[in-house]
Amino acid sequence: MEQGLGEFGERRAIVLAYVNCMWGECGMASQEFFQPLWNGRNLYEPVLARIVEVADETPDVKTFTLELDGGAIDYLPGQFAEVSVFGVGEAPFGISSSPTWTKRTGYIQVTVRAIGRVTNALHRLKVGDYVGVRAPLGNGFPVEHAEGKRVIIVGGGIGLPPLRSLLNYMLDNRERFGKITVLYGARTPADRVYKGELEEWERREDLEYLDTVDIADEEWQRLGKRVGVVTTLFPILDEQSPIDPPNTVAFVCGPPIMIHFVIIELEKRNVPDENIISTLERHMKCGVGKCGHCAIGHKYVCTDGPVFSWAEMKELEWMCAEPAV
Amino acid sequence: MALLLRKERLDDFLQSLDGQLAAPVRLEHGEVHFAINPPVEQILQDSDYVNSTISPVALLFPQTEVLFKFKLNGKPQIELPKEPKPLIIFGIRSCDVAAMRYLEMFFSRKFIDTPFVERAEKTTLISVACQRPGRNCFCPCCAGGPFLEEGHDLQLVDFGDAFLVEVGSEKGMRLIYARGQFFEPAPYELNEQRNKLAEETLQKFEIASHMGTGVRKLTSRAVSDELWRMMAARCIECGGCAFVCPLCTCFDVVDHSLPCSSNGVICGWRERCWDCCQFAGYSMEAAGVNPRPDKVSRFKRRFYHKLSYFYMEMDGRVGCVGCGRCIQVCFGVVDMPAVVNTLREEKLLGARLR
Amino acid sequence: MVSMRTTCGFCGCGCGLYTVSDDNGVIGVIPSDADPVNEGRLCIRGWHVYQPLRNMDRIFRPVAVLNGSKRDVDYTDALSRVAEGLKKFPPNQIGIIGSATSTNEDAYLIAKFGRAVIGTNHIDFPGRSRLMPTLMMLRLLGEGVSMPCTFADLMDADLLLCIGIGDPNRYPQASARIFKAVVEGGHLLLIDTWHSDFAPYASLHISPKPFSGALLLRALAGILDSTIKVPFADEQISSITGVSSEQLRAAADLLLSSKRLAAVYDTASLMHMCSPQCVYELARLIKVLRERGVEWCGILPMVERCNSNGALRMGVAPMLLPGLKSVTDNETAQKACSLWGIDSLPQDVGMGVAQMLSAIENGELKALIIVGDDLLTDVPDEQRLKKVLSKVELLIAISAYRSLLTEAAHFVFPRAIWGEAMGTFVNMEGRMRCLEKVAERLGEARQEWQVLCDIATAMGIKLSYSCSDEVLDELKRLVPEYASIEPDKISNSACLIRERLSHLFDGVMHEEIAAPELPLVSDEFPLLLLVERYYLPWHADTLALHSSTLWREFRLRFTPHVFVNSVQGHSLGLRDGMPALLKTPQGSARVTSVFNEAVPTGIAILPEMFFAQLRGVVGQEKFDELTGTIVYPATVAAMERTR
Ligand SMILES: Cc1cc2nc3c(=O)[nH]c(=O)nc-3n(C[C@H](O)[C@H](O)[C@H](O)COP(=O)(O)OP(=O)(O)OC[C@H]3O[C@@H](n4cnc5c(N)ncnc54)[C@H](O)[C@@H]3O)c2cc1C
Ligand code: SF4
Ligand code: SF4
Ligand code: FES
Repeated sequence: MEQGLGEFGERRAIVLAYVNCMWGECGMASQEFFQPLWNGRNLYEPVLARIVEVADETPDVKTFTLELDGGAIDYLPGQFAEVSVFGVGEAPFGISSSPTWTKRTGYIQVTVRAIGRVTNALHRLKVGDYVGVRAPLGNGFPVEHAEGKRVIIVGGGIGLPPLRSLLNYMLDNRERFGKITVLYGARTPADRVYKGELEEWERREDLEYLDTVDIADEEWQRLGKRVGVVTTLFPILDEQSPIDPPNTVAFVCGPPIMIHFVIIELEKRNVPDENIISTLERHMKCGVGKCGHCAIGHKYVCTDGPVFSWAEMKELEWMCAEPAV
Repeated sequence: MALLLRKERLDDFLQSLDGQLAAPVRLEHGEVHFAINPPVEQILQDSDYVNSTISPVALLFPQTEVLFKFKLNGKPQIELPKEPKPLIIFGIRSCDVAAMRYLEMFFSRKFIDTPFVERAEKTTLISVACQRPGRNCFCPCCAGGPFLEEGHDLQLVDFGDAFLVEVGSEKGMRLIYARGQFFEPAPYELNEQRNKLAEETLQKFEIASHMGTGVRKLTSRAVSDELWRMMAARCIECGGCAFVCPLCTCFDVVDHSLPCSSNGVICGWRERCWDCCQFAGYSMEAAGVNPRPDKVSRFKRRFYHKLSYFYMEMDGRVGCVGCGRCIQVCFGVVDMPAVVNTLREEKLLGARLR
Repeated sequence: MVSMRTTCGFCGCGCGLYTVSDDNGVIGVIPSDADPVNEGRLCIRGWHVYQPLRNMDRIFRPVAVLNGSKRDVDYTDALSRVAEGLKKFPPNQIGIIGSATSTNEDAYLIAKFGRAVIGTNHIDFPGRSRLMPTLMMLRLLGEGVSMPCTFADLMDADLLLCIGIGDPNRYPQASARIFKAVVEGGHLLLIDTWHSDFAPYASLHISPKPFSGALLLRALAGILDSTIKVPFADEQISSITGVSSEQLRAAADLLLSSKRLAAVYDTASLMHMCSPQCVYELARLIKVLRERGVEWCGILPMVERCNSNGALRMGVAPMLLPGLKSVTDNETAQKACSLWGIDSLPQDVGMGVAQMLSAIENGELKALIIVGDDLLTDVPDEQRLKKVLSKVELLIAISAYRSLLTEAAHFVFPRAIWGEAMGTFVNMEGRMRCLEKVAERLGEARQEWQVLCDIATAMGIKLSYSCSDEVLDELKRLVPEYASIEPDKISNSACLIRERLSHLFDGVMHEEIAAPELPLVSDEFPLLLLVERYYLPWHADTLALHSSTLWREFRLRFTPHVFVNSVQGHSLGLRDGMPALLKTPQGSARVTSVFNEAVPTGIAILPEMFFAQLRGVVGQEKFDELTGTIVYPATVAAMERTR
């Protein structure tokens, strides 16, 4: 197969080998999922992408729908994209659309909070403008690992985008997973992203959805909805649908402090470390394991992560003698 | 196979090489830099110099490097850098060859770093084995020299009026095949003499750095927080150690742009520039959280990365080739050998209080 | 790839380096390891000094306000308008504010332009006032003391007396020598309120209470020489300075044990050496030590900016002509007149920066030329600066970057930045350094000497030089002491400037000394809040802000924050890096509390750069009469955690 790949054949083969070894274990690896985005390209050359839709989520969060030059790509929930605003810079964002949705529409989505140079510049862009994209990057969620098991998805604030990708992927492959529970906490009702989708999840029969906010507004109070940090949802869960530890996989994304406390709750309920899956956030630049910014211990969050199990994180902390979360 | 290159033929040999030639030259005030296509008579040969201020690996991974240029006129247009020209680095030292081989491994691991790897593929290293180590050199402690057994394309060993030429790779072999006229077969005894020279050179080193002890101490967590604090106090976070280190690869990526004066179209480029893990902004995250918030944790990170066994497992070697450049640049005498020796003796030179 | 030798343009160390260029411009630097200043080291700023050359966010063309709107204008057009404008004002209504980042050649031309073309002595640069106490000291000490001494001299000393030098990263090349000396067995006597990173390496660290440095030095001198009057009893001194008698004795013993002593102090530290009193006392102490058998003594006053020393020596000061000669010195004035082809020079001492700003406020000064951006850091009170500048009738800025200065200016000329300018600097050792042009200038950027020559010519006074060397030659003719200086002989004493002052100040030692007046802390306000230059000197902030890496590092510090040590912080219920409310009798403000172990208990530090945002809390700054330095009042404060 290597033969006839042309000038960059060797390199592509290495990339494929890498993908194979990364995903071999979960049986997910395939040449077909890894579209030829890297094929023969300069590692740092972004693919042009046109913005086809911009949706306001909250006052400082927008979701961008992008149409990539050269067609759709395949990816895993939890993988991320490096998005460039030319002249300003490049920043990593979790892909918030699901691979199944991308297959249907040909687009990918990222959800971006405006906090700095690149993100603010992105927010100023309009439909029809171009950005650059390098994707998919990172390992993604070990979806296979959760197959046939009870799934608990815990999201905090802007940590939801990769989980939304995961959830939508699971909903599109509903029969492969057990009971799915979504716990979502945000600071205020206005800070909640994907409001339309949240309502839909709440309505769905094949999905258990609980949410809470730290500080309620009038509307929230009127509806009599829950107030408190996301960990306060666990006691409710205990009553409603107790966790069966070895058969449960939890996916946790959000601010580090929230991850910290959620993991404590899960540990209390004896969920094995290997079944607690979270993402690490680090300052990232290249996204391909070269620039060193994201390194923690001997791992690179951009290529070895951003998804790690709690077991891996603990080992990592021990090896590098510094806290990971 | 060993060959002999008479010194009077060296100039002709260098001139016969295709592509750009990078070679060490001495500047007015005495510094040694690698220059591109310098006049042949200015090129330093073996005993004229110890090593260059900055490693020649910077020719392949320069402090700033344009990744691509772009024009924003409707749909953006991206212009990638031109294919690199073939490059021959003459006079590179053993430690830097070892570093280059590490960088090649690093930059093609998992993903292939196009700018570096494209250059590396077209680069040939003609190293000159060291017989006169500098006062800061400690390569024998790090498998970095002074004589190379592997890694070079060609290695020259100085025998007074001639160089013994050792071929280390196919690239080196091809170079010689095409230029047979400059070489003659080397007498067999030279090989033995060469080994003797290598032995003798080993005796000439002034400093040592017990890397093994360092690795052990770090991997087994045998270093007290107090010692880390004391060492980090002397670091002024200049970044120099990372910038001169031929094994350090970290970089930052930035965009620049400006409206073109004639038609207002925005033109710009994206570049990468060296970065250093000792800088506070290096690891600062978007939410304002810094996983390595203080100088001590950053300092620790640097040496864990270079010395801990777990990192070696991934990188295949300690993160040091013993070139000694960090000794020259460090403001606080907390360079690699100083730190390793401090770890070994568990006592920091100069510390007074406590 | 080409490498070119030049000098770092950030701090007063003046490190030698090579820039590396290729088809894409200047792409990096290589430290010079043969240079006696830096011996192959560069600090974070030096490693990134090339980056502003790659930044395109610059002023490319002259800008003028025409009919109320700002627009790019033709160079000659701008010149003739400026010339016309300047002619409308009498000389004593025109002021010039130079920059400590200008080369000597530029500074010389600023001094000459002001005096020979405009006819004013209202010429100054913002950092000048902080150097005045040091100049006085130079005068006081007389023979037998080497000042400034060189970095290499520090290595030869057996005792380093370091006073108020702050963190090691403030003056990197001096710090390197201090650490090296200590590692090689030398002794360090550290007199610094901060428990800086030098402290663990000091043979003795004395941490006097804020502003009590002068008294402490007097007490030390008193121990060594009983004829020196100390108007306080031992216990009083201990309670005022917070230093026990035993510690003082130990310090005195350490000083006496030394044969070769080097004293190092920070001319910009707001709490120690800046006050003239402190400098007098250091001079007194050094004199006593010389009498008590110290064989050699060197003093290194550390300066923040790359060419503060040069600007001062070129005469960018209201009372100085080039060569540190007084404006009232007839001999030099006559020489200048004949060399500059004019009849007379203004004789009265002009206004300094602080006075100029007040004079603008009350309408006495109407036109102002500002070179560079030093004002932005040295007058941190942004609101006041804006208000003052809006009152200027003709404001001309020579600047590379947009800032509130160029916002307010009626005319802006693009300035050549580091790497585009060439000339010489004088570093803190008094060493002449060469600055090379390593990059093509962007747009119509020119060096300030060129702009000033052009303006003069447009005003009808012919002023022109073919290159900066010609400017230097003229300077050498004017100041014979500088004639033999050869800046490119880097490792040779021929590049050291050493002058003796004879006619500047009275040279009288003041006998009276008072205890510092500090507000009293109480249960309600348990902290003493001090404004301090804490961070490493970023010099022209705008230059640092136009390097991508330095910008990133600098930006971390952009939100107003206050330092306390962690023990204090915890006891107040604060959290590191978290929001807090800062309360003082004057008012309150939201800040971030940052834990810093260098800060002594009972003290909170407000970095000077946030003065503008927090001025309501701190109270109005004052000007020190003698030197014109801005003095920040200490105040009591309380801090509490907020959400
Ligand atoms: C794997 C991953 C997935 C992410 N997914 C999302 C997402 O789905 N939605 C979202 O809104 N944000 C996401 N982020 C965070 C996002 O990358 C940062 O908000 C963004 O990089 C900030 O860039 P900026 O240029 O706007 O900020 P800047 O102006 O550059 O900086 C603002 C602050 O962010 C820090 N910073 C700069 N670059 C990075 C970086 N690359 N990574 C982390 N911190 C940085 C700076 O140190 C500074 O403190 C993700 C980050 C990672 C690492
Ligand atoms: S060279 Fe020394 S001072 Fe500079 S960052 Fe490295 S350890 Fe710190
Ligand atoms: S800022 Fe000062 S110490 Fe740092 S490199 Fe420049 S001149 Fe040297
Ligand atoms: S982001 Fe560059 S190494 Fe991970």
